[in-house]
Amino acid sequence: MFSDGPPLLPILDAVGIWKDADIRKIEAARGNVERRFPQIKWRICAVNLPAETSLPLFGFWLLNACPLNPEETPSDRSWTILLLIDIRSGQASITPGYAAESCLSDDEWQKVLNSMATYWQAGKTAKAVVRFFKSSRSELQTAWKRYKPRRSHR
Amino acid sequence: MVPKILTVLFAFCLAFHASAQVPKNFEYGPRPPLSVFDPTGFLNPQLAKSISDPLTKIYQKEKIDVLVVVLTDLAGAPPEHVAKRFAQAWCTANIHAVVLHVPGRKDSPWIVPAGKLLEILNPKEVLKSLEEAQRRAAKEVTEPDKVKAAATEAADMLRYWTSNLINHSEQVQTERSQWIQKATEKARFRKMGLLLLAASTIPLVLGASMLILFLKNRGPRSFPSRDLQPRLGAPYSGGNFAVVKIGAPDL
Repeated sequence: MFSDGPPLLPILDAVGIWKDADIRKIEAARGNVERRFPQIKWRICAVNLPAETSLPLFGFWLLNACPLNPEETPSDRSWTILLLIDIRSGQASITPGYAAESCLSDDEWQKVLNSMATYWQAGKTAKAVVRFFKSSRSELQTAWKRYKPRRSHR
Repeated sequence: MVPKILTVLFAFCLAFHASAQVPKNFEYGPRPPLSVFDPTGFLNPQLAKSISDPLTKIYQKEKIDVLVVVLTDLAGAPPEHVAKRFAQAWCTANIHAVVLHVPGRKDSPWIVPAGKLLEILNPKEVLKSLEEAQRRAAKEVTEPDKVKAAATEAADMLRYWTSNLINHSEQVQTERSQWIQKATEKARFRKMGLLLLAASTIPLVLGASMLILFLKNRGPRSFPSRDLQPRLGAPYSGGNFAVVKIGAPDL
């Protein structure tokens, strides 16, 4: 079931929506978040799926079926967060690996995805993804504080 | 033996005579009304008055006392000693002088200042002024004129010293006031400086704390690892339901 998937590149623009400059902007934003949260690996895919395709299901299949890249380990894949944007349906979804599941809840991810909407609809698609990363960093920072080990006072 | 007794008697008489001239327990009695004491009548009355009147006015106005004494002989005593005896007996001002003259003496008259204020003055300056005053008085032709000149010089000298002392005292007061003012200002600036330092410490401490917090918060973060429970046979992800409609881009 989980085989024969395409290589899972960091940024996959299957619909030709981004130029080189847009890709660089997105890479810079991604690098910013990865420096703060080096555990988490990010994958962004812009696709044009057939009608009635379930984006979460597609994301689930993509994350599991794509072979590991040469420098990627299974642990890396389980810490991966996949942002999937479907041009046809106008939807965006987040699929986290097993290890990254506990970082944010579905509601928190939906809040992050909604932050993209304004720029996306205005045609600033690269900026929308940059916005996504900024919002992710903020939410992850808040979530991390819940996990931060506290000093015990005796 | 008789010559010996006579010699002793003669010496005694000489000593007695000499001692009669030296003022012991002030045999000259109280101070005369004029500022000139001339029992020998060396100075004529007119001259004596012309010397005495200005000296009296100076004493009344400025409390500077100059006394002129004319003696026939000092009986071997130093002039300064004799003059000071007169001063001790007859002068009470804080600064005074005795002009002592012995007719026929080439180094006479002598000006001998005394008084409490003299102790404050520089001795070298006093000596220099005295020598100059006496030299000027000695330029007069006649002895009476020398006495008059010496009296004038003595009065001028004492007035000069007194005014200098007053000026010096005022200067010292002024300098003291200035010093006090400067010290007060310094103390005030020091106080302000300390207050400013204390006031600036608060933002400095706050700033330092914020910097430390900022630096502490800059490092990478990591989430705790947990046991992974694969689901649905999926090796890396169990899937979820985080999906939103973001619309179509206006390209």
